[in-house]
Amino acid sequence: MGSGSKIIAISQYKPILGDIEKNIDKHIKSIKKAIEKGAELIVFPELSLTGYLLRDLVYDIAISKSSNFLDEFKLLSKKIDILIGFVEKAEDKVIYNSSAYFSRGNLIDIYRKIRLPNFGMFEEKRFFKAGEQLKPFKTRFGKTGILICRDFLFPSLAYSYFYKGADFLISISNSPLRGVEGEEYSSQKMWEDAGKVYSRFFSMFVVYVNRVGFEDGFGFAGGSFVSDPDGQIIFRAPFLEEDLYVVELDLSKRDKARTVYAYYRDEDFEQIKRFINEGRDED
Amino acid sequence: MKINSKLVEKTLVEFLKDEIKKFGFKKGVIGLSGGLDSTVAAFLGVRALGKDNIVALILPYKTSNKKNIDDAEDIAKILGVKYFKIDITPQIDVYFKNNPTDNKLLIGNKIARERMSVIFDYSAREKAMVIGTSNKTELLLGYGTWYGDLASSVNPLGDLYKTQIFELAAHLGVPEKIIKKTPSADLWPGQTDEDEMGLKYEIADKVLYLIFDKRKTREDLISMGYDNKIVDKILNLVKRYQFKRVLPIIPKLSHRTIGKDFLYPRDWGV
Repeated sequence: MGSGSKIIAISQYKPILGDIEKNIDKHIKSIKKAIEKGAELIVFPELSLTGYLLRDLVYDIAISKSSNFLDEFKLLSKKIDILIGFVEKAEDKVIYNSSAYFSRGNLIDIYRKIRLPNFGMFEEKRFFKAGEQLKPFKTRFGKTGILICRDFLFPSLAYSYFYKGADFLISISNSPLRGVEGEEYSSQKMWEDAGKVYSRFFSMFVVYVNRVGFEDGFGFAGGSFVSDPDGQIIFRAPFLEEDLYVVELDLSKRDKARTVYAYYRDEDFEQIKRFINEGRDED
Repeated sequence: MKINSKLVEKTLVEFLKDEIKKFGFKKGVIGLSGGLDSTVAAFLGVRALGKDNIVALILPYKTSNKKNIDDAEDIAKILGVKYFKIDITPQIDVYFKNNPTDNKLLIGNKIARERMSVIFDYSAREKAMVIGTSNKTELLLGYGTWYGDLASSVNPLGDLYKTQIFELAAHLGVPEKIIKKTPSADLWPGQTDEDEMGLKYEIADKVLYLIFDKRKTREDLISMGYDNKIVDKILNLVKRYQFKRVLPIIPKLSHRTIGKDFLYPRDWGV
């Protein structure tokens, strides 16, 4: 677990649909800028290498985790940790909506989106298989857990990370904006509500990075944010604007929260497991 | 049903900027009728692309209400955009001289398609994309000419009901005289949308909103006090005109068929 202040960069990115090479160039520019700004991590949104509304394009742009396309990220990760989103073709040739975390010259984690949305405007199950693994991994920010977009709307997944000892949660997203009746897009509140709850009750920093730009009329809102272990939104990016943002995280705040608020100490995971294993109450 | 007009404006302006630029264009063309929808589309277009990048087309037919044509010219001047006023009477009249009819609807559809034809021609001349002006109410009720006024490349207004367009127009600073005007396609003298549809926008919008946006049932609406005849009329129109909202049907023969399992985004390769 790391203490003290660390700077992270949020790339509220606008991908070029279906063009990995151009997206890699754009990524590299952002990564270099983030290094100049002293960031130790740069987070790109879900499917940042490809864009979202791929449909049959997934077959053309899926790459394996050992693809040469990822070499540059490994190299750059000697200077900064990097999280990107991409379409992964696994060893068994099955396609996943995945993220890759690079650090100190290596690809150290692949996470595969677990809760694929498949209703209304979403059709991810048509093109992707759902991931089945959830394992936090060590980074300079602590024990880090990744969630991709709709995963973040399942408190059970964030809780599973909490159980497994994660204390730093990154959620990357491609959330289409919707709901224009209120002050802000009504979709935004959903993400922030989740972020505030997880960061407070699981004593974590939560970093949520959403993309911008339009694809076939779907607008992606941006509104990336960071929430802290007091349940406060400490940074929020504007809607619809593509930019690189740096945020300073005072990690001692988290360490203190874990000691003083003691949610982690007082949670009884064995008891919760027992509750679940007892089965449902049929009455 | 109320909208946050500021948020809607920002979203639609960004949409137009992003989508038009992506296709390699800088400019948009809009047919201006002097009515509310095309005026609102033009206001959004200018905010997205700048006044130098919007080209307006004013396309009167001999029966067009002179006031609408003057208002359309006024709007073009207020916005400071380049505009062309082209009388389409000759080509329409020559066609009906050879193919006579007194069916107003046939004549109206022909006028709407002729305007579409001129707008698309100018889009090529001006290297511009056609910005559409069909709102959600007319799209759902099928109140528009197929491949006529319903044709465009990008349509910023397609997810806004007519009553919401009134709200957005007021926010954008559209002149009062346009907002106060009785909605009309002006395809023949004295035509108004509400008379022709036999429906009031206010009621139609509420019914459509409750059924499609709020997923209420016909029965829910009737128990809320809506007239069942009006509800059924609206639902029937939506069903009957579904064809106007989709591409022509292609019968599947091969293993990869356009519109069925040839699934690529519109923004493919741009």
